[in-house]
Amino acid sequence: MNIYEKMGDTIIVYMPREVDDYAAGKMVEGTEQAFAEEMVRHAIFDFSRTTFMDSSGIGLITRRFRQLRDRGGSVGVINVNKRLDRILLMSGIYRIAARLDSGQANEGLNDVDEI
Amino acid sequence: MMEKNRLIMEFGCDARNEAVARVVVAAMMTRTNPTLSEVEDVKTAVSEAVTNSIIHGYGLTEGNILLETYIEGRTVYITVTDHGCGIENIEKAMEPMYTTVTDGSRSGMGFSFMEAFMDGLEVISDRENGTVVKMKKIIGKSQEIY
Repeated sequence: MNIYEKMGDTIIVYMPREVDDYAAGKMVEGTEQAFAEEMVRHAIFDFSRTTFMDSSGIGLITRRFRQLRDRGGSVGVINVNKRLDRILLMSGIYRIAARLDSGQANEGLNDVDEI
Repeated sequence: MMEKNRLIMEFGCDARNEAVARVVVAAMMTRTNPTLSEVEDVKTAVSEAVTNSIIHGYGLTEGNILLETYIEGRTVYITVTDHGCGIENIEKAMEPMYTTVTDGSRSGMGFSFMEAFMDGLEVISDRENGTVVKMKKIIGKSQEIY
């Protein structure tokens, strides 16, 4: 399975099964080139296969948020289970990342630019 | 701490060992009959403590991390020890969002997560000896919040 997919100006990042410091590091490495492209403005982090996450996941999303914000873009998360939702909520990440319903992935993030 | 059921594990500061450490503690605590959510809480906290030792304690240097765990009644006790560079200002380090490593994917939420997910957290650290993180989780205490 690919770790990311690009659709126009949006990149969908498929998060690994366990998101810890090791996996997050690999993930950053594997998507660095894709994120470096100026045309990429929005990122959606897809957690459909993720069963474990520690604060490294928060660090990863924050890092990409800063990068895309500079280009006027945004970040969002999708397919978040209850456990992950608790972690994301606690970390305050929803202040910078929109929580999307699974149907919204194909529409991209263009309509949530204001947050 | 000389509980007969104690488990002591020492491992090198390779990031791949984060997963090993949290799985070992998860296996250890099954005998307390925890909920899935309690196991996840402890796994997350262990992951945070071990990651701190690797990233901050040892940084670019090398060394071993000691993981000790034992169970008393339905309480799980965990100690993560490193002999790295220690924490200069523990109070500051425990503030949410505070991190000294700004170039990577650090969120500064490590200690906040340990505090939130466990029922006790104590950090002992100095520049000479490194850092000891003591945590406990009382199983069966917290209500499910979801």
